[in-house]
Amino acid sequence: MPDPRHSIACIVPPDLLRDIIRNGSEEERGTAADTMAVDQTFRTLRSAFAATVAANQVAMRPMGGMGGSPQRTIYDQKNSNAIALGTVARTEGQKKVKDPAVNEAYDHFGSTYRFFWEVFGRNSIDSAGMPLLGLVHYSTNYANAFWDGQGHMFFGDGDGQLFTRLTASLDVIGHELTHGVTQFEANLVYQGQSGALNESMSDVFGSLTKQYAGKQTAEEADWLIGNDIVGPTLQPALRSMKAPGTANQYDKQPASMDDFVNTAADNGGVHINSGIPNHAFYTTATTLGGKAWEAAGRIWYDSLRDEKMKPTSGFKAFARATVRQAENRFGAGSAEVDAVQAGWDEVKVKV
Amino acid sequence: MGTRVRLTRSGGLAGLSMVVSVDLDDLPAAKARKVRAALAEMDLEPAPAPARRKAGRRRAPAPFPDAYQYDLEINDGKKRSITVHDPVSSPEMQTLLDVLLPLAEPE
Repeated sequence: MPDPRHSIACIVPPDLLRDIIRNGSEEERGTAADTMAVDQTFRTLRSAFAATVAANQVAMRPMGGMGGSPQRTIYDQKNSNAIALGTVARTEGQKKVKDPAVNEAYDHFGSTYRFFWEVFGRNSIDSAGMPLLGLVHYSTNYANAFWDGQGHMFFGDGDGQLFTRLTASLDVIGHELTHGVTQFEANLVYQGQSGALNESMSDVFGSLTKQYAGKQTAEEADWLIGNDIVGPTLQPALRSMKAPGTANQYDKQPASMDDFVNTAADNGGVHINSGIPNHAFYTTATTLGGKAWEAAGRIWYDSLRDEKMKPTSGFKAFARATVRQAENRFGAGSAEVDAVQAGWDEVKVKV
Repeated sequence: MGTRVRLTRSGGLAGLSMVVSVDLDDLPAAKARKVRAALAEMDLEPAPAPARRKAGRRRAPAPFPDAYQYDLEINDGKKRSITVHDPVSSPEMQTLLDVLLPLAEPE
């Protein structure tokens, strides 16, 4: 009899094959478990697809909104390690529930949706009204949040050491949703320099989501990531775009190409070298002053969608895209082009 | 010689590396037994020579953004290793994480 794991691996991307049975006996973890895992995976995919189709039908109704309203569903994973959708805890338009994690995810999804819609006219992650699905209370004391590339954002409750409840941070939720936006645009490979650029996009638009919601100027913004959800180990913040490498006692982010870190860990240092383009954005935004999403954010967004950007593009290709897009929108020789150039000069990326 | 196990959890939203390196003989007997049983079931690969282990090289399918990366290295005279990402699908790997991660410290 063929091993089901092998036959399945041929048709389903291997990273979709996630385990369901964790707590069963040895016998329970046999072929039955594998089959069940695959069933669950298909169920997840089917339901996500159905939801997408439903949302698109809504968007196509003449009076039914051509975008502008998010389609949110928050699921309670009840501390399970399963990746299949848990119990529906709150859907679009429903009132607040008792669970703060559910309400935070719902509200911060809304703020992130509003940011991309009102500032860039983008209707959700795929620019076509994609539903926003949040899975809260994932696993037990899980100190992380991630985007699964299939429309789901997973949030742990935190371990109390590195992280407290991960849904509490608007910039972190903006960060996760932006991974989805990047996937639908330049689709930057999550490895090495393109991966660090992918990470930086999430920090840039995550921070801008927070600044937009708080109506902050570049001067007023804290330029910190995750400062509201770090536990004692990572106090006072995860990352600083203003001063990479200073956010906490373990922060190893470089602020320029002189200190680029080569490592096999962290998919080639994607959360480390992201400090370089992060600081370029900070420099551009503060050189221009005022609301960072208006010019600097717009240029970065246009550049993420630049036709010359490829999945393997690194810092230099992106820097060139930002200069090109700044010239397109604001004109050659404009203050915006100069500020973009100053940003990349500061971090020693040659354009 | 004994069996030395080194586990690094890197990446994640924080990008903080947590490392634990232990000789199984130094673990409480019940935990060491669990780890040995899990290792016996795992599909480990010969550790690449340092020169060939280039930064940024990858064999596994594309990881989810912000998912943790786990690098496990075993040395019992023979060096072997494995790299996996969250969500972890192998129950054996999950057992190792459950035993070893509480001992890990920030790098």
